[in-house]
Amino acid sequence: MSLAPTGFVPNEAPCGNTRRECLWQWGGGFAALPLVDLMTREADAAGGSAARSSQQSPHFPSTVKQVVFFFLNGGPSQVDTFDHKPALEKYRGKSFDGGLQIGSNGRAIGKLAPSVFPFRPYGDSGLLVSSLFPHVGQFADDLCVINSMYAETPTHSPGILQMNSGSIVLGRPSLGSWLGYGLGNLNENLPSYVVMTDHRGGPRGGAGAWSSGFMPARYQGTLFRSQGAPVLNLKRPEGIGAGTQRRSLDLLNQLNQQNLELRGGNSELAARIASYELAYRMQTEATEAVDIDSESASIQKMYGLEDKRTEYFGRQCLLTRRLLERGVRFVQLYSGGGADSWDAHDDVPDNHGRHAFEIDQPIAALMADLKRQGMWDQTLLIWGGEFGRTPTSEGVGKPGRDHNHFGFSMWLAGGGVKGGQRIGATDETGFQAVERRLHVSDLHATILHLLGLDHHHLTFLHEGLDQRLTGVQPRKVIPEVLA
Amino acid sequence: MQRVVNKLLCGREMPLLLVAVLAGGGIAVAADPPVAPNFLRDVRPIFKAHCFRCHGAGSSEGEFRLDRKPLAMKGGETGRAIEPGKADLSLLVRLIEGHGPGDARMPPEGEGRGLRQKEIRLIRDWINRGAAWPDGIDDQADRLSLWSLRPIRRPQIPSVTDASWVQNPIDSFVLAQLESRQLVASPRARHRHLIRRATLDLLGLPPTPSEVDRFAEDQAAEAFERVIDRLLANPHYGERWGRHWLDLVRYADTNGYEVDGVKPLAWKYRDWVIGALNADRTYDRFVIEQLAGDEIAAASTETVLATGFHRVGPWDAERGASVQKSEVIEELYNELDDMVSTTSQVFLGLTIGCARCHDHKFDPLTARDYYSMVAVFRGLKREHKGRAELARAALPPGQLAGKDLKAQPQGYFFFEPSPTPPVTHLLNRGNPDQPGIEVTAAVPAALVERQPAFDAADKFTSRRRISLARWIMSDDNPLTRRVIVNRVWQYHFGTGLVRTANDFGVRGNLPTHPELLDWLAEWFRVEAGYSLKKLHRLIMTSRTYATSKRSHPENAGKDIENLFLSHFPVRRLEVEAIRDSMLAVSGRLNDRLYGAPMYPFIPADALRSGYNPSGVWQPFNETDANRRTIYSFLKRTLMIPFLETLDFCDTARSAERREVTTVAPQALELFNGEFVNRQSRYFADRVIAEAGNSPDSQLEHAFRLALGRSPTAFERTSLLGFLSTETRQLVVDDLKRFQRESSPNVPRQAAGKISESGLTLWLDASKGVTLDQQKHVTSWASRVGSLVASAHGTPESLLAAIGKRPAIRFDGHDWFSLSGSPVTGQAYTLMAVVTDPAAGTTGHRNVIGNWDGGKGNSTTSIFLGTTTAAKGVRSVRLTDSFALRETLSLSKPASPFLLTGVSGSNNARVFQNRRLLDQLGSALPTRKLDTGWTIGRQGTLDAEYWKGLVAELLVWNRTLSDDELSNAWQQLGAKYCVVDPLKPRLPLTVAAARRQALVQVCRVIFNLNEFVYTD
Repeated sequence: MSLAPTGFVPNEAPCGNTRRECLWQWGGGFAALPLVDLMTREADAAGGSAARSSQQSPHFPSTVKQVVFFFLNGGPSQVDTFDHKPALEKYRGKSFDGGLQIGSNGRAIGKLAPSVFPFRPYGDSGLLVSSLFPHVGQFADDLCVINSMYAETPTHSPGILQMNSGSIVLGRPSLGSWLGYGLGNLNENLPSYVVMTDHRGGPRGGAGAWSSGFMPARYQGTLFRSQGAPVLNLKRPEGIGAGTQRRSLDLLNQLNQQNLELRGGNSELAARIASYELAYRMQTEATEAVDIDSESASIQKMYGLEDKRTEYFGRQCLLTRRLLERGVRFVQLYSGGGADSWDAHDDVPDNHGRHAFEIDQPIAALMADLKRQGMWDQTLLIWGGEFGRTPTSEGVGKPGRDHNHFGFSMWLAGGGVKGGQRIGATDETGFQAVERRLHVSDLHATILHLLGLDHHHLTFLHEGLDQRLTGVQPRKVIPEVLA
Repeated sequence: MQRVVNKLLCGREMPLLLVAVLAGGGIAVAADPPVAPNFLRDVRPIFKAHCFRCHGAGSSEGEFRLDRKPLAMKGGETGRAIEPGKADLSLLVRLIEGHGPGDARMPPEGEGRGLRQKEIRLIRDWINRGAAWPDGIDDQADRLSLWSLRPIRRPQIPSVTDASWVQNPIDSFVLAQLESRQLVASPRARHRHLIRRATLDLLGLPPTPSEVDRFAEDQAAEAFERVIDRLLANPHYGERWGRHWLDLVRYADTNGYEVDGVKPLAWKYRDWVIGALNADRTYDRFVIEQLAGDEIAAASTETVLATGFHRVGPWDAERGASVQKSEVIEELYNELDDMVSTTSQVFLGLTIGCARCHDHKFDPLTARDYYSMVAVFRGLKREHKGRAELARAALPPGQLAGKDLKAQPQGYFFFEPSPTPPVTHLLNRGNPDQPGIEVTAAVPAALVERQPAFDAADKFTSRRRISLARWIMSDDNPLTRRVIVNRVWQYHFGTGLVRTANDFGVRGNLPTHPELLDWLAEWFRVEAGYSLKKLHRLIMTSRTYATSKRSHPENAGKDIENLFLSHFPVRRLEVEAIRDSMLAVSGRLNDRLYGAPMYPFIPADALRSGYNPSGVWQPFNETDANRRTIYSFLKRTLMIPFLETLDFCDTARSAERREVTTVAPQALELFNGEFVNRQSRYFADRVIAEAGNSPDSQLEHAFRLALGRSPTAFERTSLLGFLSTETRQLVVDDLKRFQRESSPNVPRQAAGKISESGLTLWLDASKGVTLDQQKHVTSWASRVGSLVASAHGTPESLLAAIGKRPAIRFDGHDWFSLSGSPVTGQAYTLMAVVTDPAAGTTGHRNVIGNWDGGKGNSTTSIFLGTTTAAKGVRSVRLTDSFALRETLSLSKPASPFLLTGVSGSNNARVFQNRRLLDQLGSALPTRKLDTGWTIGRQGTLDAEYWKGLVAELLVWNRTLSDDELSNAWQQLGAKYCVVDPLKPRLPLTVAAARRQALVQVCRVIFNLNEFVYTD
């Protein structure tokens, strides 16, 4: 067991909490360790061990180190993307009679409606993908599509919370926080958990989606922008030159050091002094990380930077590759935001057509690039939204679809994932997961597993409970996913 | 780990205490060797976790109960279960091993997991050793197994060797521990440290230099007591300690989730907390009013507002107000969980929320206890209309009849619509679809010997909360006062005597000083009569509190975590104290108490990640934002970055303490952030104004203001060196710039013409103006295109107004409506030649815009105008999502100037003449363009009139390039004699460079460890 500090500055107990809680985190509680061991670690940690590695160990070995989550904010329709339902043709215009409450909040329910997007098989696996994702389709043999996901709510904000934190209730740490907590940082000069929102705005419910909940704030997602200064306050204040900035920082360090010596040393104060130098280095490193212009024209073109429609998400995908190269652990990209998300109540063909076009080529470019750079096996890719959409149209004569958490599709690809397959199934209309029903938390358990973490044992003591990402209900790793 | 340490350290005391309690109850404890399983500690918890549900008080399946010794030993339908000394022959063992009759297993399939090998071994061992089960223990077992539930008996004050050290009984307890561990207490802190420590502690602000001086000179024995009394009487005390309380009660101003609606008037609860603490409302009243202020005999508006406590938590309005019943019910139980969890953690230090789905794994709390607590709050209802919440008339329920409720004071709290709440069921696995037995309102069974009496409902409410509140504050309940004295201790010393302030259960920490905790708890109840101010005074007048922060060299290597307080534990200040201290030191603190929330500046980049970037935050009003941080608007889906970065608490659940992390983004915020740099400039200006121009006196004054002391010789030398080097460097660098810009080698662009490409509106007071017979303007036609502005009111056309050229005068009620829209996209440039002499009156004034609240673009309009804040400071607004940080600078209030606003695809900029006032660094949020345009007032609003001259007004329906802007400025500047654009800005004067260097020193001081840590 490794108890190494994580985060930018190793100033506190290894898991950001008291050492006692830390031991609880690793499953056995302190009873599992010999007392002598505990006492040495105690002295060691308390003695200020700034030189320790900042990487924590997984529970078991895994090649996968990093994660990219394409979050299709608003809920993409499964029957229009990765869950082909030819039977909808014969039910066209018929009412749905599945005994389930349809939709989100009492909106009018329309008739069953087949997708306007034709599906076709791709790759050796013959995986069916709709015409919305022709570029991603090229990687069909790498995709592990789960058609039988279900969630607990048809409402955006709690749904987004659940997909990120396992719970529909505010205040719990998100997946990226758990990974930072369990695995630590790979690069101290960059945040471990990066979130990029859509240029039209963020998801409903805002920062709750990347909150660290009851964990220390350092585990929360850091918002990154793909243009200009990537992180808040990274630039020098207006009107302060580089020389002045450096001289002022030197003065600060000098005074703080002197004060520290007078106080006879204190590891927390020393850590704070170090944090200013780290911040200074971060200015360089993060600015350099977002310098997409340094990429070749062909790469930029591959990511779709030449087309206005794909440029924004393309920049974010290209930036994602650059962040992964620099050791960022978890990157989450939101597609759709503000008032223009995947929430296609009125018009799926228009809405999904636009949004899918924006992301299809950039996602495929990132996949190709990761393979080219030899980063494929260490990276896990996740695609999906907070829920899916109904196979019925919304209202009468409207080509939109309503929210649907009873059944929806997601896909995984990359390291440790067995591609070219579909897991589970919805009923013949695509409404409800019926075969191999998989809860959002089963997906979380699987993601943790792929990164070498056992979801039972990755725990954080809060309010008297060993809190887990996967909650109190029994959840299981999905074995079919694993390569 | 902490627990291990505590066990080692407290090992001697705790078992003794336990034995004493047990013996006091006439109970014998089996003297097993240490390795033998102890029934109370080891065996019973296994029975409880796995067996009691079917073989306990609730039901006795198979006529067998395991929670009572006689019944357990007697056995059930299938015979004796336990054969002492013979585990192999015991039916109980066979069953838990899955070898019962017919291969039966206990617990049966579907009723929970089988026992683990370790647990089975333990039970076998216990039976083989004779199945020792102390008599008479069963009723109290849960209470006796947890230290915090044991009755409080006032401990003896221990005797100590060095009696001279002791100033009050606290010191005896602390010193006794130190002496027994051969730890040496550090000397008393010096006066100037002590007053800084106490002032930051009680007020969250630093002491003023004169307060420090006065105390340093006061050699009287009771000098420090006088300081404490003065601080406790200061109303800023309520703001500082009120914030601690708000952490605990998960306070925020919005609901969170998708809708994240504003909690109307929630801040009245916040104000109640501040006021109650300032008035030293005794803790019993403080608690009872929050839980049941509407049900007490002396109910009043104030006490009703106090019950806002229950309602300030998160609420998912989308679900709570859904038409789908299952969503509403689930959300209802989430709300009830919020109330039960918050109440039990805040007042009792118990994490009963764990028992929502199943019996608490560790503490003696069952799901039945949980739902009995749910029943207490079951009758509460939220006033709302769909997803929008409503305030209510803040009157006790008995006083509502016959009153005009709209005319009564309003507030934010729940109410009981009926004295008979719906029936509460235990929910299996917390699932509303699986209701179990019906439960009544009750106190968790393990906490009491006998259930306290719950009042019958009266005409208005169920009286369940008042009944619970009465028990919470009853003398028989040892938790409440242990919990609160521990919290107060924690906020004074950084950590509590129990380090897990919200968890006094099995998983929480044991107290480092159990006798001190109990002594304080009793003293607080009896001697202090629950006065928190008396408790502060007692703690702060102890020698323990006055100890220096430096550790004694003789303690090296011992008690590294300073659990035993041989020296004062330094810690980083909370973000509120950091921010408020900066405002106090810079001289800009607006110390107005109470009232509606304020909105600190949030950079546009941070707003952009939100769901609604443009409408989400109020425009920056500096005077208001300079109030204390506790008054910040706390929006659950958009935390203010400055607060979030510096470890503000999570507002979703009760927060028992602030985390202290030390990460690079904090350094970025404090060194590069807008707030600190702004305050550094004010701080420097204040120092110059108060200390004059001598660098030496400036440093002296700055240090005394910020740190309460003079600089050391080392600091003085470093800083003087910095000031002179930096001043010289700034002058040299700027001179180089000036020379570069003045050099004849720099090709000077000849002034081009005003670009007419995309120019959609060009109003020029010398052209196109028509007058009526009274010489008032009736219309004003554009020089390009076909737009015409029609006058309202009585604008006049002056002949030689700006630069001897004509201008239109707006006298505060004049305005024009435009015949069409000059802007069709999100890229545009607005430029005007104006005077704005109305510097003395505060408020907004608008040159041009398309605001129309009636058409719903009150937060999505385009406009360009000026604003006067307090002290005549003028700034500019370009739309209501871009409030500038820089202010207008004019030699005379009425000097003419060029005002330019530019909106582009990735930036928005505002200029006064050629000077860039501010830029957004990103595109403005999308603006609505389908509303009418006006000149001289804020759209359709009968307000924000321009009061001054407008000589020329140009609108381009595109973003002008820098060259084009330059050309236009040059043309207009020359025409109206407002700018001389060809001259480079003059080099910095030495005085200006000195000021800039001092600003850097001030910025450094704000970043010193010493500034952001307790003294």
